[in-house]
Amino acid sequence: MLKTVFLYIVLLLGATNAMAQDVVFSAQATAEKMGIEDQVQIQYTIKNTQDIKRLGPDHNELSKDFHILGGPFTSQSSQIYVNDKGQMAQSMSVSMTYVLQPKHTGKLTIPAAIAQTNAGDTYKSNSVPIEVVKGSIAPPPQQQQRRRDPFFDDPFEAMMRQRQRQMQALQQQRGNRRQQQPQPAEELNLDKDLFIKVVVDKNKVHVGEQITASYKLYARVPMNVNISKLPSLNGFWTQDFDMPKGKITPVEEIVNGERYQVFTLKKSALFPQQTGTLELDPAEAEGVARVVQKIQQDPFFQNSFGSLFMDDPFFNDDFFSTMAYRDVPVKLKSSPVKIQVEPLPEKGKPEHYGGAVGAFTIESSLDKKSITTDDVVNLKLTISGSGNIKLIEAPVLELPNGLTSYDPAIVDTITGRSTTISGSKIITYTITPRTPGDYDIPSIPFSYFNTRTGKYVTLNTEPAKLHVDMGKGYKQDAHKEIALTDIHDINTGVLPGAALSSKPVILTVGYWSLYAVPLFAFIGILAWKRREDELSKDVVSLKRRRANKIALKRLTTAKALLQKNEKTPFYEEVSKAIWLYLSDKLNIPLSSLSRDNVWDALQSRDIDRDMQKQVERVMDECETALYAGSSGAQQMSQTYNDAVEVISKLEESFKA
Amino acid sequence: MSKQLTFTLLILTLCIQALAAGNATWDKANKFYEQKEYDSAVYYYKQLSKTAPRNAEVYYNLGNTYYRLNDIGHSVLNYEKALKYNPDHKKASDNLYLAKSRISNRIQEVPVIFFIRWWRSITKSNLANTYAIIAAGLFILLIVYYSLKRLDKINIDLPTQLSAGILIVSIVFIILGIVSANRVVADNKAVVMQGDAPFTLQPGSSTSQSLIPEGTTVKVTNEDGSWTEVILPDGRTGWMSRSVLSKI
Repeated sequence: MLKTVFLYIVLLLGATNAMAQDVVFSAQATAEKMGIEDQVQIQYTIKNTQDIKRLGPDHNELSKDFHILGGPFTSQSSQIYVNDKGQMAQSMSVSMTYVLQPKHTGKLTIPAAIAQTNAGDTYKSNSVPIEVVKGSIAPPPQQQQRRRDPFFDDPFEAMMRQRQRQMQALQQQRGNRRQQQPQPAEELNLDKDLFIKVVVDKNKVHVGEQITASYKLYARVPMNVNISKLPSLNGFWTQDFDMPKGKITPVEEIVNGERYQVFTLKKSALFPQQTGTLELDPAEAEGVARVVQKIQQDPFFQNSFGSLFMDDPFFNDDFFSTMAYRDVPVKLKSSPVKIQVEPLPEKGKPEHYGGAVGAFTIESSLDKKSITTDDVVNLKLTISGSGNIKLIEAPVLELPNGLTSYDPAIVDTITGRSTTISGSKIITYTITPRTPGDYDIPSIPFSYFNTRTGKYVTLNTEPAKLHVDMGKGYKQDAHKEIALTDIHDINTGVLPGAALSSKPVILTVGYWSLYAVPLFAFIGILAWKRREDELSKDVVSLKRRRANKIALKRLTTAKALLQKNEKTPFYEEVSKAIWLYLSDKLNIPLSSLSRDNVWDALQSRDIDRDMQKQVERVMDECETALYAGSSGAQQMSQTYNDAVEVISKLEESFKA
Repeated sequence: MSKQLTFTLLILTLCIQALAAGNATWDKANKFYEQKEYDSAVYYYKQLSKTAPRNAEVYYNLGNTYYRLNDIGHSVLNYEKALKYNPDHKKASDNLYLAKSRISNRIQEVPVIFFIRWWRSITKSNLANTYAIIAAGLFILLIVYYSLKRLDKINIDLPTQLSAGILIVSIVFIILGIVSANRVVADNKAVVMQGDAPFTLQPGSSTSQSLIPEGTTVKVTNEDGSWTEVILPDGRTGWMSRSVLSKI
């Protein structure tokens, strides 16, 4: 980005502090009478004025009667003298010289010149009458000079003549010099007359704070300069300020007591993007400067002119030593500028701070209030204000679950470039709904660092509401998973009881014992039951087998009781013997034993009626004896014998 | 009687103590996580996972911690573990999805056929105990019925087909229970723990077929020394170095 600025300026520069003195504006010609083939020099000199805007005669008027052979040559001089009040005073003069040749003979008039100052004053010089004759009347200047005796001549006139000759010599010299190589020693002198300076308004800034840098050309001599290289601005975001279009008007500035014309070539706002010491590289310019040169060093001049007035301090003055003009190629380079960039303060820095520095406002708008899941909605954030607009990071959008957004589209617009860089940043977030529902889009915080107060300012946008209906392409599951933007948080609270869970029960011995134990129990039950059944069959036969023995045993007891003549126990024993025998033999439980079912059972076993009667008689005898109580010993032995007989007979008939 | 009570109380006390110790570590780990000291949180979660090696919650939190540490490999491994012990852990499966979506050059999974998906969902590891209890219950009911019947204590007649059916159902549940339980103890899945892990067609081969990104879940089918035969999510079979894999 090398912007070239063309400057073509041939301007009268200088005019240092001239005192308030009378302005003298005069015109002087080198001759009052001349031949048509001769040349004449006319010099307009203005003294004791400042800020001359325009100086010189009307060229149209001048060229009516004269050919302009040379000029205008402008020179300036100043002299310091002690005025009549005993003060040091400075006198300034500017002169303009033309070399003229008349167009025709007769009494002609060299027209007056007009000078205009910046203050608006206009001055007019005198006009000079001149008589032009045919041919040439002027002798060769040097010869003429030689023949004159300086001591008899008017010294001033002699000086003027000398000057005329000197001007011609200078012109010659200038022509020669152009062919020669420029002398470097003389170029160095320009450093104070013509230079470029990069001016920054601040040297110590925060990251992102605006620095205004101006590239200024300081000149005290006429020049034609192109900017060849602008500083590379690494580490900065730059925006150029608007410059007035067309002609660049200089401003006067006094540097170290010297008055300069200052041209602002370029003005930029710089926003540092990194901390540390940043350096603005030098700006460079190339061009040509018109140099006003003192000729005192010229040997010819010293001999011819210097020798004349060598001892006279007046004539050693600038004005009289006078000048030549040279176009000198120049290369200008500014000195580099260092800028200290500090980081923004950590104190009070908001969490979501996005690097904005300056002064801003924020606005948000949602383009639709109600959409379907097939649509998208745009959330537009407009950050406007002045500062490092382009460097502001887009704020992070925190959307509720079910809404997603992608990277926002960002448009930066710079609108103002007068003293600060201002404009707007439009950030457009495209929001895609995943699931239907009513959503609250939370307010978006935006913070900037205010350089004036040195504090962070946080602004919040208005929260918005969005209604989402189910669209045609809505798929419940597909969208659920994508809606997740961050992992679910950890589970806290009490560690669930699953902490104690280890192996699945199916792989444990304990579990399989749940099958084994009931199964074995079942098998056990089956076996026991079978044996029980078999056992219960055996008991019947045993009872039957043992019935006789038991009966006989009881009868033996009864016999013993008979011998003791104990009536009641005897009958009881006999009764028991018979009843128990029948119970066992007929397989009738004692509880249900009665005479009726005994007779039924006996009948079913084909026992004859006599047997029955016999049994009944013994039972009756026993009962009678037990409850009536009257019986003798003889009857007791009779009953005993009957009982034995009945049991043995029954035994026989059962076996049969 | 009094002895039994004392014993029961003792067991209960021990259990509560163990639980309390576990909970203290758990709270500590959670606190570190919330303070974003993830390295410390990892330490305590790992300690906890040693005492409760089949607790999905511990692995879930550990997975989250690794996710925060940007260690996708370990994050995937722990989410997979959490899902191994609790396949219904919705948060873990969501987070696993998210963690896997952060894998660059991820190998896309081939969708499984519907009946395999059904089979997987009915033999979820967390159903193992349910199946086991139902099967045992049915079996015991049947035994009790027949025992009572044999002892002439009840007079209900069950059709033979019904009791045979109950027995078959019980056996089916036992099979389902065993399959589900095997998912808990199985170690046939692994996660690639190293970025760009070489995948070869032959064990020990130096020419890698492709490079497998960190966090990829593979099925282990065979092991041969320092080499493991794996099936990639896209169905390719090949060998990988055992050192780059971590079993779930």
